[in-house]
Amino acid sequence: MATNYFVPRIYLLPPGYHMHLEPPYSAYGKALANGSAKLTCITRIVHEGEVVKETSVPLLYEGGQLISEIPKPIIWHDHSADWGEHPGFLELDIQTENGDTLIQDYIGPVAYATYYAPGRKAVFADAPLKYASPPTIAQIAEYGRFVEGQAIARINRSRDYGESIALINPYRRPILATLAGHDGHNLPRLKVPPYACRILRINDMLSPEEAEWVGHVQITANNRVVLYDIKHSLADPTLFSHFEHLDPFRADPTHLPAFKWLRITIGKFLAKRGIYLRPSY
Amino acid sequence: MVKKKSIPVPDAKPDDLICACKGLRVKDYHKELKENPELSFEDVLNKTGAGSSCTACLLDLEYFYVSLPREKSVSDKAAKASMAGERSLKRKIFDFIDKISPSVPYKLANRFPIISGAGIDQHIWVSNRSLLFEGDRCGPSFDVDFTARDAAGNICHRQRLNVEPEAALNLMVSKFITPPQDNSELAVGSVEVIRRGRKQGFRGTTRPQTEILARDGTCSVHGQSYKYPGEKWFSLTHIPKDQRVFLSFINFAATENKVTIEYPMNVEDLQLEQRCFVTKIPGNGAHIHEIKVTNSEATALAGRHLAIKWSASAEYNCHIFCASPDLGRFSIDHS
Repeated sequence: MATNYFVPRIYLLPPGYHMHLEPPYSAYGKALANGSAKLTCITRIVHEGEVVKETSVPLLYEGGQLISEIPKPIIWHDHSADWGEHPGFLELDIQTENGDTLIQDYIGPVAYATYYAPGRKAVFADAPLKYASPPTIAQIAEYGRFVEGQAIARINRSRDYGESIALINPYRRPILATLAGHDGHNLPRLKVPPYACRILRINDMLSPEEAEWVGHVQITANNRVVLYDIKHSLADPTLFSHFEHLDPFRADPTHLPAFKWLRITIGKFLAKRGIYLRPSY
Repeated sequence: MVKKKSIPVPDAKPDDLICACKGLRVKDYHKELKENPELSFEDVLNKTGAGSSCTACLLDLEYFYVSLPREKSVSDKAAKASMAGERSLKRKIFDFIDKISPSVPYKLANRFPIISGAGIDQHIWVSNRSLLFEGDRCGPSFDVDFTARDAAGNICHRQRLNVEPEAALNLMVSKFITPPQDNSELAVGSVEVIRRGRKQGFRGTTRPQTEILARDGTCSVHGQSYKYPGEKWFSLTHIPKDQRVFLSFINFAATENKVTIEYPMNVEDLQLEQRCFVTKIPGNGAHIHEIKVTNSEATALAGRHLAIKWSASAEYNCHIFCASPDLGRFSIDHS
């Protein structure tokens, strides 16, 4: 299915860090039907229901190559002083200028952002898709529910290990989300207003006497919500160790027909030798 | 067979417009789904044209796709989703043979780098939990094979474990790799994790994760399969006084894999010297490379990313580690 857009990607803008993003402009050219198109790269900074800033940059491709000037990096400085406790988010939206359906792979390439701050090590994150994520569509079709999880969450008060889940609602309707641990610990339901972010602190589901907790958490919501797992200092939640998207609860099967397995095996054997077969429809 | 739970559709009236660009209303969409319940989500988009112009309605289309009632069960739909639309003769033959073929367990293979250093513990987790821990939708019992190898590709540990529904496996793997003598350095190895369902079901939460516990913080990442040979890029903001950055490479091939790492790239305007490191990784071996730039290079690169390019001659995967200067805090990402 050719489209006129790459599915937008959603980046968290957390307090305490600057964000630096250089989208892989050269890779977008490879997803174009005939290698040539005029694209527009739109970035929207959103906080608490408002588009705080929107920029638009033209991209001209010929023969799969970017022939217009490489845009400047997208840099957003820490706004925690103005924004308070709730983070914002950035939406990266690339589409054809005149609406022509020229994009063959609408998922597009991964675009890592770097989050950095003076005196702190950086963290990187590849951003989740705003919609059309194949595992999520399969999950909703199979189970009728949106569920993502983090298989290994860890709180340790003596070692200062903390962990939180950032929830981003880039849609028009409010979202209600709940977080549950594998052993009965859970957090009260949280409302994420439209175009807003909220943070769930996993340690909030523990009693003060519980010094350590290691386990699996799952988040469900009444609609799709964009989720990030943040591993950070418990004493200073703005000091990050790590930043990662969550994993959907997978509906993929554990078994497959033997004949299909044979085809996949042959396909992998050939691909290792540089021969790529086209799937048959 | 899993029965779909119905989702209430708030404020949905038959005449409500879902896709303004194509003039698609709820009743039209519903009719399409009722008449063609086997269509996958993408097929419906193809057929109606909805969601392909301004895209604002895609989430709603997806929402209505799963919530509007259809006569056939979801399992029927899922089974037939790949058969939607016009099928070639070859496709029909393949689908027929698939239908009569016996099922075999899919070998789900991932490899992770193992890093070893002062005060660092690394674990592999395979968690098999039910949907929202409610007990009724969980992956089946899985056999999990672990094979740890050192940097030279020699097997240093092999073990088969089983993860039952509503349980989790945790294997400490850093102990299999000898730490370097210098506390400011890291040693590397790899661990292969292969899952096979003991009976038919779905994968649920069993995608393996590795967790690294360092003195001041933790990090984790899910497993990945291999990447094909070829060129790959990664770029990052690198401030050497605040962090150290490492790339690990795992050779998935049984033969030598030539890896070439080059940086800083795209700095012709800054007149920085581009460096090139070539390493030959033994079959099934691993390699770790620390990205080092001088202070003057870092100053010249202020406000822009440090771009790194690498290539491999055989299947591999690459992870990026970003650590505090004293290796007390880590993050890990797959490329």
